[in-house]
Amino acid sequence: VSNRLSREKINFLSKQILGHLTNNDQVEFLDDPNEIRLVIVKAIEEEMRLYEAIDRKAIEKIQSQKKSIEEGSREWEILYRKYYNEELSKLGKLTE
Amino acid sequence: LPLVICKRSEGESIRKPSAAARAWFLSASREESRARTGSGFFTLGKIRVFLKDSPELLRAFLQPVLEFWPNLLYFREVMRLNKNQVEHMAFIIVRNLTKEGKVILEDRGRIVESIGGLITEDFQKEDHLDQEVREILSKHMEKIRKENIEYQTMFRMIKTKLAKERNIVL
Repeated sequence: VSNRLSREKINFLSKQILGHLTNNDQVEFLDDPNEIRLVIVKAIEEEMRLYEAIDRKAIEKIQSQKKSIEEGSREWEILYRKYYNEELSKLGKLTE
Repeated sequence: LPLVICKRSEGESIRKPSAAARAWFLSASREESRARTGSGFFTLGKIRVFLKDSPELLRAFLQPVLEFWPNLLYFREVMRLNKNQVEHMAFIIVRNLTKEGKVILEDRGRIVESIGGLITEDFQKEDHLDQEVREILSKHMEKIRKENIEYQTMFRMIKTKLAKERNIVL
């Protein structure tokens, strides 16, 4: 799914989050806890894919410039950050 | 190229190198570049050229710079998710749980926040571990260079061992 978070890490985080929700009085479960955990796993995987896509887009944008920019140069780094953040900002506000 | 290799082969989440390591790398490279070309701006290609035509003494100085370069890229490239990304992830988890009718929540905002805090806390544990491994390795850089040991392999081995001892899931 991602080279940023391992399968073990995603499973571990999902269990931690499930445990946290179980102990929270403001949360009521409407399904089996493991089903709930699987939704959490899927959401994390979905997010990681999203960030990988953003990373690829930022790199493609740099590569599509007329001028060749060497990877590792300061200019490359500045552009990468700029494009990555631009793509991130397209995610929109979290108000749904 | 080193960027791609490091990123694909390592898959670890690491933040930037320590400020001291970064400062050393930048100043050593600038100094060398300024001495040779009159310009403090340097690139990986430039260091490779320097390395080829340098006298023995300078080569000994440049080699570690060159070796450190992929690490610098590596550290930068696989930086862990930032605060906004963690918040976004927590939001999506809660959104999906409610959208799929798995839970009913009283205070959504507070729950999103607490999940974000939980994820951040876990990432910080790993960050601290990374820092510790870097510090351990920095004390043995001379040996690593002399015996031609691959830094990233060593890093991974020590990190895995310490993580196991401390029950940190990587």
